[in-house]
Amino acid sequence: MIDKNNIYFVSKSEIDKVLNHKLNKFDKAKLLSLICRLNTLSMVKLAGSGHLGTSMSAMDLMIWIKFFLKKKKKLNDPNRDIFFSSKGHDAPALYSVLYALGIISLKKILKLRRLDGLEGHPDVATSGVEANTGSLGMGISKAKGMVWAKTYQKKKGNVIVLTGDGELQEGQIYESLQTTYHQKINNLIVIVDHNKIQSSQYVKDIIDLLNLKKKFQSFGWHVEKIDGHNFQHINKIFNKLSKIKDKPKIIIADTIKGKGIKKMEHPYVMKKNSRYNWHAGAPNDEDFFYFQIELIKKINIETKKKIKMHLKMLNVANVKQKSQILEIH
Amino acid sequence: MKLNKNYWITTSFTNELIKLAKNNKKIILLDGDLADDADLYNFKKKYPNRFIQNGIAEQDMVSMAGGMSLMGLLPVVNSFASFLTARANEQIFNNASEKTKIIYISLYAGLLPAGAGKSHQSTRDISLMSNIPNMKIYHPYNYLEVKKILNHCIKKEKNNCSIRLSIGPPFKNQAKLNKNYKFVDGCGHVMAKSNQKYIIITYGQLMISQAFMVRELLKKKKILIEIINFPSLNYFNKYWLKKILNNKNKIFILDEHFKTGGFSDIFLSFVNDNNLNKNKTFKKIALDDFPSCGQPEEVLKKHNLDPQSLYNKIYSFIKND
Repeated sequence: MIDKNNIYFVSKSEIDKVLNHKLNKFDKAKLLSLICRLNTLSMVKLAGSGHLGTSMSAMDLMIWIKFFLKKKKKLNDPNRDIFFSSKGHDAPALYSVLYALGIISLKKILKLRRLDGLEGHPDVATSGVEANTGSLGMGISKAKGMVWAKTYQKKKGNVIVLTGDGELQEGQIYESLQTTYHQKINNLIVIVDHNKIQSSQYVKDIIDLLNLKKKFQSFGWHVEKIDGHNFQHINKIFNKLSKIKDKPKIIIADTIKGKGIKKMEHPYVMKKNSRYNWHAGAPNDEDFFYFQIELIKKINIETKKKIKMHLKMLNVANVKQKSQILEIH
Repeated sequence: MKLNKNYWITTSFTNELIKLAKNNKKIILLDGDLADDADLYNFKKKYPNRFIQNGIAEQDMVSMAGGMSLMGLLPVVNSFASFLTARANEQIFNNASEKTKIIYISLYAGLLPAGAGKSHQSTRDISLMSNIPNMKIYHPYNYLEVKKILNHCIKKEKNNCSIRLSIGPPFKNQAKLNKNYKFVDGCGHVMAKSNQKYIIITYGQLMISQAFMVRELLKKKKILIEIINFPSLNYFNKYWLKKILNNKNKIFILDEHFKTGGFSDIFLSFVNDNNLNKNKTFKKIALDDFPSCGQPEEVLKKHNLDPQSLYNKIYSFIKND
């Protein structure tokens, strides 16, 4: 029974039931993405602030990359596959994935945006975080430095970096697009989490990106467009890109800001409001309850259907009693 | 002093970097299309695979260096100080926050050469770099000191380093450093001794040369001023400083930088925080306006940093003693 006053998580031991189940990887990805969405929502509610919209739009890409694309290697293995988000605002999504992978603890998750907990934007002091990000525009440059270093040191492993679409307004992005191509740093994949909203408005109304595909192609990159919430698409494109060696690669992933929670998804919100209101900040208690219920119901339906079991929900806090935390945008 | 280019700070820096890179394969040089000004293409000739031409894209270059250092390399990043430390400051801060180590070549640091004007003269980079907690800033005096400092930065230093390099040949009759000169981080070097109570603390070939000329002018008034070369611009050894300041009571800090946030500011903060200022008067002598464009002598005069203006200023503070 779900109590509307509680904040629920799916614990690692329950997640392991899904991970250990003989389920095809697309169904598994779908279940994991629901679980990680719930944990992300709860984490942000507990913290009192955090970027939910972008966490939800990037979630499916992160799930696929971290669970199904990366080869298992130790965290500091120089041959490891590297993934990081340049925008970094989606840190709650990343943390929920790192928790599901067993890389960070529940104790940490419960201390998002708290001293000695998890930083609001990624920091390498946190296990599994590859770069300090959050200030926009630096990620492609950093990633190409990593690829260069791997090549120079004759190390294996691919490097994938995720950017936002609003982030593409930063000038450094275009510096890095030019140099990556010129320096023949081809073993790099950039993914644009193209959710069409930056802060609270449409990207096209702030500064229009125009034809992104043509833009990237004119910089010499190989460009693909996909549905960033469709695991079959995501899988197919990574297989295709692994064969392209003569150019750096960029995937424009069409996504939905707030994906997975109906009233947080941008097409719904933008029809109702003139502003997207889930960019930053935690939902109030009432909204939180409805969002949480929606995700828990989806998890229950999927687990019943796919793995014939019911995942226990871990109550970590009471919404009324949790300490007051300032909302910072 | 021979005018052989090996006696230029920039060329000597590059020669030493090439030497150090031989046994340290982690050293990688990144350049923002300003390698010519420090003969850094000699590094490329020697190690073509360890030289990255990144074009005029400082932010991208600095973040790329960040990614490389996360993977265990030791990037050395070159551009003019005015571009590197200002335009890419946020990227430098971000890299530093990852607790990796990168060496930034703050080339063309200071007031001279002044022909290119304020877009190129770098007189605010100390302020920009010193606000990064794990950043050490150095300004070597000559060809010998630059080698010592580079060795320190590469072999010993745990923090990030910004090495300010003056462009141009050494000055005629520039005071020499003893061949056995040892660089000790946080300590200065007595260039000219005095038993009187006056002292100039400064750094770099331009300001130290100016200080020597002021010393000569003051001698005519039977005043002998001590000159300290202090190449560690934001890190001070308290005990060394205490010893040096012990018998002095008028201390002039000559800074090739804006008055706010430069060496003189950092120095005075340190002195204050460590109670080294008892019964002493400190005077900052630094830039308080945009650096002017012109010939060296006329620009120095414009900013009251020529020997005569410096003499007038210093003498006015000590003549009544």
